[in-house]
Amino acid sequence: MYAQVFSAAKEVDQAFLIILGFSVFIMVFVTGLMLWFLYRYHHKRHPVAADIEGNIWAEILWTVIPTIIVMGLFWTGWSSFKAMRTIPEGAMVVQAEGRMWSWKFTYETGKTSEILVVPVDTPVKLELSAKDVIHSFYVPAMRLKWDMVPGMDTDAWFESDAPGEFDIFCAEYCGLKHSNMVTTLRVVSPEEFQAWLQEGAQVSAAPMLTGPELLDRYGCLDCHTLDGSEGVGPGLGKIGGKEVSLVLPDGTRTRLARDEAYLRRAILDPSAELVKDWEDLMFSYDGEIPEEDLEGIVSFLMTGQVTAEAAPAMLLGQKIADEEGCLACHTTDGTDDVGPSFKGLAGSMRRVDAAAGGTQELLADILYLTESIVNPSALISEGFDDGMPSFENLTPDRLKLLVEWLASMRKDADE
Amino acid sequence: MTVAPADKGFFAPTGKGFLRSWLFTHDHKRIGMLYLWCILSFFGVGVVLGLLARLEMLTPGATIMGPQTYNAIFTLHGVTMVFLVVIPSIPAAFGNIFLPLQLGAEDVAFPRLNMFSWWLYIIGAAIALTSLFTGGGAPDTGWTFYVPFSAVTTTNVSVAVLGVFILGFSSILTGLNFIVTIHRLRAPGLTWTRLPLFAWGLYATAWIQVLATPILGITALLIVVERVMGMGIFDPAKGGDPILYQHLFWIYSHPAVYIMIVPAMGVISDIIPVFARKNIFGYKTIVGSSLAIAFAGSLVWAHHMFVSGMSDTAVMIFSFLTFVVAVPSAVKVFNWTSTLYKGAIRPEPPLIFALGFIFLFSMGGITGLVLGSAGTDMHVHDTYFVVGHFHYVIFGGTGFGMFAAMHYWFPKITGRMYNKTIATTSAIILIIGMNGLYFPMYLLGLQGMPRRYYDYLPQFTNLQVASTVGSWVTLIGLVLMFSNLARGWKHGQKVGDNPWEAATLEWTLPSPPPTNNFDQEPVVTHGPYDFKHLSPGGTDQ
Amino acid sequence: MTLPKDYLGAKMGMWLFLFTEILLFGGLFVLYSVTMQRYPVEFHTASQMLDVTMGTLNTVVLITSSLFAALAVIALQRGDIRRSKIFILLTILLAGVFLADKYMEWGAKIHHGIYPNSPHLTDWPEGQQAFFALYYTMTGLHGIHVVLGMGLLGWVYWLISKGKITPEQHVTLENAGLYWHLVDLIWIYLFPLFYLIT
Ligand code: HEA
Ligand code: HEA
Ligand code: HEC
Ligand code: CUA
Ligand SMILES: [Cu+2]
Repeated sequence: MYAQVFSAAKEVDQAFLIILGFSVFIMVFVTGLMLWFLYRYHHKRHPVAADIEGNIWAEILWTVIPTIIVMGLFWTGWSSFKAMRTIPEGAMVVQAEGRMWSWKFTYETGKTSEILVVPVDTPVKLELSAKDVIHSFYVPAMRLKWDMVPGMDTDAWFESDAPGEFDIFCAEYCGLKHSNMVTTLRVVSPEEFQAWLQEGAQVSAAPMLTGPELLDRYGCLDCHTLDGSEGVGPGLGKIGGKEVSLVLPDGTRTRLARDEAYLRRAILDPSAELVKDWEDLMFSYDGEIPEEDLEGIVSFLMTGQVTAEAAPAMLLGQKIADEEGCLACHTTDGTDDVGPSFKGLAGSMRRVDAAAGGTQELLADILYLTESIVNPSALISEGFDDGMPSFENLTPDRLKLLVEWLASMRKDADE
Repeated sequence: MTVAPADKGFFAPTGKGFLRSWLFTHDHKRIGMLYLWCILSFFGVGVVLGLLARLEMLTPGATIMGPQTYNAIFTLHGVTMVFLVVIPSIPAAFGNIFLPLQLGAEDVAFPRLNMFSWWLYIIGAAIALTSLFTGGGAPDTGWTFYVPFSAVTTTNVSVAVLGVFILGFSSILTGLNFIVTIHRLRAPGLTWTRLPLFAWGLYATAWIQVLATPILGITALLIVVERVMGMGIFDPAKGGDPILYQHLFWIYSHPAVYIMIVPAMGVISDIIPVFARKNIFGYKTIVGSSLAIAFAGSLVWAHHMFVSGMSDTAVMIFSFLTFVVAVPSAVKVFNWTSTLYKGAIRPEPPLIFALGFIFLFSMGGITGLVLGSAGTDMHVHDTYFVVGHFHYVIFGGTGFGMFAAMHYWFPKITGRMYNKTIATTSAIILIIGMNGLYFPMYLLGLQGMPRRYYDYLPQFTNLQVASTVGSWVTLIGLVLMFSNLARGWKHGQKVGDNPWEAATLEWTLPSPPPTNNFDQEPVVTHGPYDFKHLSPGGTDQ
Repeated sequence: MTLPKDYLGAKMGMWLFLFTEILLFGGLFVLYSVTMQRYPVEFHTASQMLDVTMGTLNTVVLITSSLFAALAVIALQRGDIRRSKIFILLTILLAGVFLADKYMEWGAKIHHGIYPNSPHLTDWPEGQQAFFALYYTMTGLHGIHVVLGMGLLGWVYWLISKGKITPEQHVTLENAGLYWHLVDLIWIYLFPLFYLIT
């Protein structure tokens, strides 16, 4: 067993020892007596049984005494429970969310994390909630367990006397990967804790002027996609340097390789050259986009996803996927798990259950991906269960980043 | 080897054709035998599933199967064992055969209803097993079918739950039948205080069956409605409450554990006096404690929900009541032990199984105190500690009760005797194997290993291995025991009508008993454990 | 089922069975009261959408049918087999009326898009959804009991025609009557719970 580091849990252990002591005593007593009688009153040693029908006093005795004893046991157990349930005022609050099959801890600063990090000697109050089905927050080292029920707010608390790392388990059966719903409680010194909390804050405060973000900010993505598919306008993913057929206003046609100058023209004066087969729908961004942002966009379009600039967006997407628990069900290596693998998902044709029954083929474009995350039950891919919880509470920013990250792993990403 | 028809008793052909004379029989003894065979077969299925689960737990990560399979296996293991084996086991099999005999009756009160119950049992079982091969595959919810998971999983939960619903009805009707039988069909002179304790156990059990099972029925129906129509009674998004489901489920399923154990306690109370050659110690107290368990046992259900988020006051009340309900069991254990005092003990196999029962049941029952105490339950709830607890009480209790009953009534049913040395050896192997299998689970639970875990952290490996090895020893004991009984049935030595020199009415009949039981209605003049009235030859005077 | 010769035993068995039926509904009544405590206002609002006239009509129909069932038993006990059979038929007839009325009520609701898991319903406040979930479950289960009761009465009618139930051996009819009273009784609880809460 773990050395005990939580004061209320010490009471639990004490209650346990008291019950154990009583149990060992009674087991030895009853078993010993039974074996002794078996030997002593074996019919060879004791051929004639005595004529005893009972003894009312003995029976009263062994009804009343156990009753008194169990009342005592009840009381120790109950008071240790009480200690576990009495949450001290002013405890540090952390929100803990359980979902299939990962954890999310949210701190008062807004920082989120998949592991629980807390300072030593500080009472911590956990506000427990569940996204999909019932889970149970269990830290054996703290003797602490409490269910997380969808639609219900529950709480629990603990306080650790010593730094260390402890296991956190999900103790309520929640489906396929119930046993993988394991994470870590890390108890650190207050300084370390502060540093850890800051470290998170920096990441989220970092300027996120990445290419996709810029495209999003100026509404480009309302019409274009980055995943190779076509929206209202042509796809924008990986177009830098590639050839394009153009139609000029006078009807003549040309072909050119997209370069920075062309891209600038396409944004600032879109009607001047139209991509073949597309109509003149895009308006001019002249004066709408500050120069440095335009530069960012153009260089992003030129270099595609895998640039130094785009990388943070990717990393952020991956980080969010990790935090939101997507990776509990999806892989990034092409093997399907509970859900389809993210690799090669975007841009592929998906067979989904149609509302009217049967299946229908859909292209996994940005819209499709977004809908799959926000309202997964509406688009069930063939061969998979309707097991994905809805992530409709993601902020638009995070959703966008997530989808872009998915798009970056699109089908033709490696060609 | 030919046996004269007269010796075959109720096994003798009735002239209606073999299948018809069994499947549509109204004879309580035949119905009991049908139950016994079915239960034993399902028991085989359950054991294999249990052993597979143990094999998987031999190493962390995948050993022989994937997580979906494992989850289905422990669910089916639990459902089979609970609903198909242990709940019907003693009442439906031995209760049917011996209750009317012990009462001196011709049959149960409603023989056709009895046959109907058996058919419901078979249909329910068939439906439950159909869920394996149809729809979305074997259910993976655990035998508790907790919502919301059971409402969202795509596996074939609806069909399995429907099977459970029908099985519940079978159980209700059996209980109802027994209550009326005991009230109406006792032989002249068989007053309530001369009723064998086995019959008393069945009586208490029957009341639990009648009162608690309907709640299971409605709960099962609600799950089906929830899945099929999206009703939303337990869905928080639609104004429902998942915790209510847990209440409804345990309102039945806690009393169900007493449906499992009280008949076994009845068997033990019948056996011990016979082999101690001495009246039971405190007959009335034992009767009272059976009724007390039946009554108080229906008030403690929420001890399965201490950490579910219900109010602290509820936790206190239910913890308190749980401790109260442990007292009648303790009283029984003390009374059994005292019955041995100053007896003339014959350590025959049924007694060895009965003593094994007392030891193992106590081991399980006493850990129930750790679970009933709210603070410690917070730590061990839903860990292997609970798994250890209920296997000790169910297998050590009901299982050993069943084994004891099989060895005790074997000569009455077959007219023959098994090899007693082998029987005793198998009992001892089983006791050892059982401790090897389940004791490590207590330690695992205390260290924090959650149950229903397909995979586990390396620190749990040693104890898991120990437990798996224990399961093999148990298997050896089981195989030895059953093969010995099977051999005894065919080749065992013939013994008289009353080889144990017992004093209850079934032993006054020939073995196997004839179809119409008693030629003339017996008149009872003494208590069930009054051996003074037996002549040395063992026949009643 | 043949008649057990034991009249008391048969009655006892039936009463036990009725008890289990009450417990079956008891689970639902508990659910109802707990949910009602959570959403008193919503329950009130939702209840007003039910058609009290139809509900009242059904209550009257069912109570009358229960009366006929009792008259059928009395007639048989007095030896008037013909009259007993007429009363049984009347009981079954009224049960049919009840179901038809129920059908129209449910039909109207479903027509308005109020049925379990309907897009319309899921937009409503949670409490009202819960109310209708319970409404459909409980009246539905009760409806199934009405159908079972009709079957049972029909079977008893057949037994009487066959001469298997006689004025001397009438316990099966009595038990069927008891069952019918139970079906009636449950409705008498359902009616105020769903239609009359204010
Ligand atoms: C045959 C079945 C059976 C029996 C008889 C019992 C008997 C008892 N059970 Fe058990 N129990 C189960 C089957 C059974 N149980 C199952 C299947 C589960 C798990 C369900 C699931 O989640 O899947 C469970 C779970 C369970 C829990 C929930 C645990 C959790 O999930 O957190 C609790 C909590 O209170 C509990 C308590 C008890 C108690 C106090 C008794 C008492 O009745 C025990 C009384 C017996 C004794 C006390 C021993 C004999 C007496 C002596 C040796 C004398 C000395 C004793 C005293 C003086 C007290 N049980
Ligand atoms: C009736 C009860 C019963 C019985 C007999 C058993 C027998 C066995 N159980 Fe069972 N088990 C359950 C009921 C039972 N189990 C339940 C309810 C669960 C929980 C499921 C869930 O979580 O949903 C469970 C869970 C469970 C787990 C935990 C799974 C997990 O949480 O991950 C494991 C793991 O090893 C296991 C192993 C075994 C083994 C190896 C056997 C056996 O193979 C060992 C050998 C058995 C015996 C020697 C028999 C005892 C005899 C009888 C009961 C009477 C028999 C009657 C007649 C002979 C007619 N069981
Ligand atoms: C509980 C498991 C689970 C989690 C967590 C999860 N998903 Fe899914 N996901 C699935 C399943 C199952 C499917 C297939 C069924 C469907 O389309 O809804 C799926 C489908 C998808 C699809 C559509 C793919 C296709 O082929 O239709 C996308 C895109 C997706 N998920 C993205 C995400 C993102 C992003 C996250 C995290 C924010 C996430 N998922 C979290 C299980 C999960
Ligand atoms: Cu989450 Cu188990
Ligand atoms: Cu219990």
